Amino acid sequence: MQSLAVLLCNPFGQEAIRTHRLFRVLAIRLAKAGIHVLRFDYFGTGDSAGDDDQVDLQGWCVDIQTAHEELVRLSGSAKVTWLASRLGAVPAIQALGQSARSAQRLVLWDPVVEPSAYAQLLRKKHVEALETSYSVPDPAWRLKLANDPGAFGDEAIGFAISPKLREQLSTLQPAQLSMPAGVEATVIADPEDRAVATWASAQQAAGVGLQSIGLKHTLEWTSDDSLNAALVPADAVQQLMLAIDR
Amino acid sequence: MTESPILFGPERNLLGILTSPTKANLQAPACLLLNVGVTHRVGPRRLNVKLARQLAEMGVYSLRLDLSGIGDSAAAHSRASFREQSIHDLKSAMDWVEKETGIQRFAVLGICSGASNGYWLAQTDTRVVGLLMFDGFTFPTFKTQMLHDWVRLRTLHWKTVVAKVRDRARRLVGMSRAASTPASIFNANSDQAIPSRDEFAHAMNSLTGRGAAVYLIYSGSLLVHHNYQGQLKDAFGNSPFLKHIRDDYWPEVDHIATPLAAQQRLMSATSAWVASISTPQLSASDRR
Repeated sequence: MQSLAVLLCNPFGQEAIRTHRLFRVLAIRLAKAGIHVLRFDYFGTGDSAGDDDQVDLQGWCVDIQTAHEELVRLSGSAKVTWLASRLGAVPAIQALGQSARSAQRLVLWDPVVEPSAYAQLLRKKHVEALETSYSVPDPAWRLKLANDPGAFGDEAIGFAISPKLREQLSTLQPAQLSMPAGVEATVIADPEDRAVATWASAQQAAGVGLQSIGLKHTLEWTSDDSLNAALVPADAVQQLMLAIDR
Repeated sequence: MTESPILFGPERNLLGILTSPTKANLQAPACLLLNVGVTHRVGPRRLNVKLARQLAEMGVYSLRLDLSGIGDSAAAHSRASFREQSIHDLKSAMDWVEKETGIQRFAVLGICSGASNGYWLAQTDTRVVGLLMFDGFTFPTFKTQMLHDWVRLRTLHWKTVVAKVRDRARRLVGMSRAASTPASIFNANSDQAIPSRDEFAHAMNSLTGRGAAVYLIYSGSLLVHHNYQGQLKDAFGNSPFLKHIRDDYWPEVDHIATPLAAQQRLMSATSAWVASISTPQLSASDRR
């Protein structure tokens, strides 16, 4: 039987930093279970070339396809699952079915399905991070956040948001994130996340074989909290293992 | 510039990225860029990546690495303490870079827990000719306490202010005692061994005495511990090392350089400092 291979697709910015250890632990466990795993950094992120102000979702889409090709080449497996978390879900969904370089299964973990709402969340969390990090926070930050919709739109918790990415986040609608028929998907998300539930229902109604799994976990994605603590919730790793290796 | 992943160390469990300049300045020390807390080798806000590339533009080699058990480096099999293991790991890193590039002089750049690790390493290995500690060990003074209280009082309701002043008055003796307490450090590093003032002064005198350059930067996140330019002079009086180090207090930059502008400032200052120590055989007074 041909072995399975898994491509791990990172989230954005600070969320990717927080996911690094968890993805390493997950990759080791999957490898011990006989599954090939490739972790990679998109252009402009992590160890990869480029700057964070060069990041955009179309580029990530191409990067996922390139990484897929490399995973297939290295593993010899044609049976590939993509695991994408948070904003990584957007290019993963968009890349599905675009070419032969595509997964048979998709596992989405706390996916961002309303990019414009995510952009607003980044603004809010950026200001919270500033308020937490500085001993004497500037009250003007919060006023600016409330009164100026354009404020804090070009950087989020230490990472630049390129004009192109900003534009993509503000214009991309959930309806544009449609899964192609014939691809199996599992969505792992907080059962109270209405946006994800609505999006998943729409996919199911369109005939996509999509399974939803509810999971609440302790990892706060868009935050600097617990900078000095290991961020590997056991329940999340277990659920991801089960979803991938079912 | 090229970036090469390497595996090194006696157990080959350590992972690093060597950033090599296209045209190397062999007068410059190679730089070690350290983990901050459990953040992997890219550094908080990806600062280590950005800095490594900026240094390469200046002709400087750098290695950003994961210590044992952090990032992509597997835990070591030894029974050494975290500090001992960190020193072993960093010495292995220098051995590898020295063998690969021929460079025998190193500058260690660390933020928070990285600053602590750099401090301990610099004391045990004379190949370290430069030590930059961003939000490393702090030594509060009476003035630090007063400034902290003043800043806090400004933001409180008058009833709270009255209660706090009353409470402060009751603890005046304790407060002056607090001014002579050992060093403290930002809470992210609270589990690290912290040197006393005498130990720190001794270490700094020893480092500067052998000609190593030291640059201490304190951010605007350390209000309780370090909150004015000149605090080190007040804390250490006439200790000789003060004439041979550089120290800055940056209230507009936070502990992990969250705003992009803060990152730019940190990287510019770091690059300029590395450039300033990139000529060997300078005397300590020349480095000021």
